[in-house]
Amino acid sequence: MKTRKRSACKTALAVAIAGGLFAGTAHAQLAGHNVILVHGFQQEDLANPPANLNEVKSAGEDYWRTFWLSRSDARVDWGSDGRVEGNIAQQAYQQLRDISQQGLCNDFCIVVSHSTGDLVTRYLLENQARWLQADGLQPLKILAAIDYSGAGGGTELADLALNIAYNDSWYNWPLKQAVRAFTGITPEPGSLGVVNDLQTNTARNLAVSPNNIPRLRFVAGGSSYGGITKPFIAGTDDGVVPTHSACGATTSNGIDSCSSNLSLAGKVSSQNGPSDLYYNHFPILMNEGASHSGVLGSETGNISVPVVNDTTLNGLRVDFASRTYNKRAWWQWWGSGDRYVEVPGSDQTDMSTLVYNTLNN
Amino acid sequence: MPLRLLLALTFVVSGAVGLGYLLSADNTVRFSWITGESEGRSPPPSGTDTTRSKPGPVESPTTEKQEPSENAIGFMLASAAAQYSQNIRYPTYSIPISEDQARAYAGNRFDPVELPLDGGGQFTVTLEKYRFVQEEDILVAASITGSQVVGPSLGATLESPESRQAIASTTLKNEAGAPYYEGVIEADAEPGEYRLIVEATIDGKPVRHVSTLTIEPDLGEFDGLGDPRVTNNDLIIPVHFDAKDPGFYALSAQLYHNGRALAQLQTEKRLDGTTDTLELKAHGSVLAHREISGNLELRNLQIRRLPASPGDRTDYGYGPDDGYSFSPPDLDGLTDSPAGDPESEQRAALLQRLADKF
Repeated sequence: MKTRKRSACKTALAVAIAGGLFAGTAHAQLAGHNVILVHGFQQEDLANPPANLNEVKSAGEDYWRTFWLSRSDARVDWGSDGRVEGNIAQQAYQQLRDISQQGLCNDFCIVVSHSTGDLVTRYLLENQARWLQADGLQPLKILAAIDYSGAGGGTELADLALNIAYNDSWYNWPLKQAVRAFTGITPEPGSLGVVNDLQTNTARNLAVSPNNIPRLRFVAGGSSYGGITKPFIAGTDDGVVPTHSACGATTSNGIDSCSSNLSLAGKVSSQNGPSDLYYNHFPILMNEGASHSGVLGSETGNISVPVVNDTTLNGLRVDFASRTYNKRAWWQWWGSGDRYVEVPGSDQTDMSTLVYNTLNN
Repeated sequence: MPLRLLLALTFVVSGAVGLGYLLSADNTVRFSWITGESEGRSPPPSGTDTTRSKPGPVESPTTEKQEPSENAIGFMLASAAAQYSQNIRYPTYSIPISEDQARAYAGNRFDPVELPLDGGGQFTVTLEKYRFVQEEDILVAASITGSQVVGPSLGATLESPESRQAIASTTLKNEAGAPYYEGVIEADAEPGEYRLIVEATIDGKPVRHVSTLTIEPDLGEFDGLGDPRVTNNDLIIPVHFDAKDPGFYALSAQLYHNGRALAQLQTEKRLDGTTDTLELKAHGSVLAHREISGNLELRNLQIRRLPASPGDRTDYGYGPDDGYSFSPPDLDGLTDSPAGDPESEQRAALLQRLADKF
């Protein structure tokens, strides 16, 4: 989820430069494959629902401006005032048709999703082939999805937003502030749009059938909204999305890490990890300091951690000597300190740049 | 004099502590100016690996060993590519599952929804499932913990989110001694999404707990299984389903043997009145390496009428609670050979090529 300030001026500017950007990104590929962006929840849509698809697309363009926009070949934009099995599916499908007609995925494309874009992507992957074939079009061939802070498993903030919408004003002030920060509105019944789909039970009952598209998961654990949302999310979180969702865990039980032996900060230690993951979900990186929106390219200074569950590959042990180290906290006078694993130099960049540069190296 | 004594004592204690620290066997930075080791860093002990949590994959005798990259992201991508290559040995219509995955893919799961209360208490509502078929009973259980004073009963209402009209309501009662409140609402409403509102009076003030459930249309009747057979490298299990309306349907179920989940099976088919049979297939790769004796079971049958157009709703139906038990035919002809889905293999090759760069 990202917040944005929509103004006539900004929209006009965006529309004016869109053509130029598009022309400039005609060959913006990731590892030789076209990139399709699917954004997350945009709280501005709840306060001021977009009037038409053009406004939806304009907002979608703004969403990715920090990093990915100039590195993408197409987007699937949708209004957060709608529901996944409703307006969102309709808006998204119009764009899937265009992508199919342009043949952008004939040689496999890569989806980059953020937050609720994970859930939207999952729903579209389950239905796109049947819909497109019914219209005489080629289904999209997806190589993989790169999911930043994936909200496909829902967030407890959405459960609580629904409750705040139905409770009187006196109720639980800190919780109410957290929900306001998350939704950008004072929730009322009927005003929550896609937040309804983000309820943990609703999300985990929507299009969960296993498929053959690999989902590469990138997980953040920093603070958003000054940390006021964290107490209300199960386990660790990035201020919006719980780790159980971002990792692709099979239940909404609160967990602290995608790995049972590595913390979000990379500390080698016993962790409350997922009991299992959804099929073809592969946690790749965790980053304790990155915030929910910061993973999209705006934050540096946070160390990324490879989600290493075992250190063998094809039977060959991997020497992690060059990327593990020991560190004592200031209060630890004796002992070898705690052992950490990290992506060297990852604090010099953000998670999006890190992945893009690595894949395009 | 006392000041000097204090200083002397401080010096002696500090010296002893410092020396102890310097000479500590665990002090990895000691004498680094002699050994040349970089400060604060140490190589992993030989023969141990503290990042390992699970046994590594079984080494394939045909695997060509290449020195893996020092690039951590590259290593992770290579790991994902290797795991994906393993996964596509199984066709998507028949994938092996763990017990946890079996619970997740069984569908229709409702995890308790917790609402925090002032003072550290919690108001929790639990349902048996998330989706109910029309006219089915909805058993509602609620609990309230904390130091609050709660009334003797709770009210439960099923409400339409659009019209905000109450569809049904009941009282949740607290049987003597039970730590929860319980009651039943009948799902007598049009198919769609509904709000379940459980209202309590806590410390004299009303608190509403709101969660979401769905009411599903009656899609048709499950009429048992046909005769299972082995064709090519699949155990084919015909499932009879008499659909009320034509449409594109997806059927999923879980294959069990001796109480253990073996595979998630799924298929899609258009049902238009000319046939009432969908065929689930268990691929040889999930059966051939197992000792199968006695009956197999199909559990957690779920049928979905898929949305014909974007914006349409997916409708859900469910098989009998006990599933179906059946005696399989001779399975000796099945082999543990890869599925060979061309698109998945192409995808795996591309991912591997990506990983090979590192």
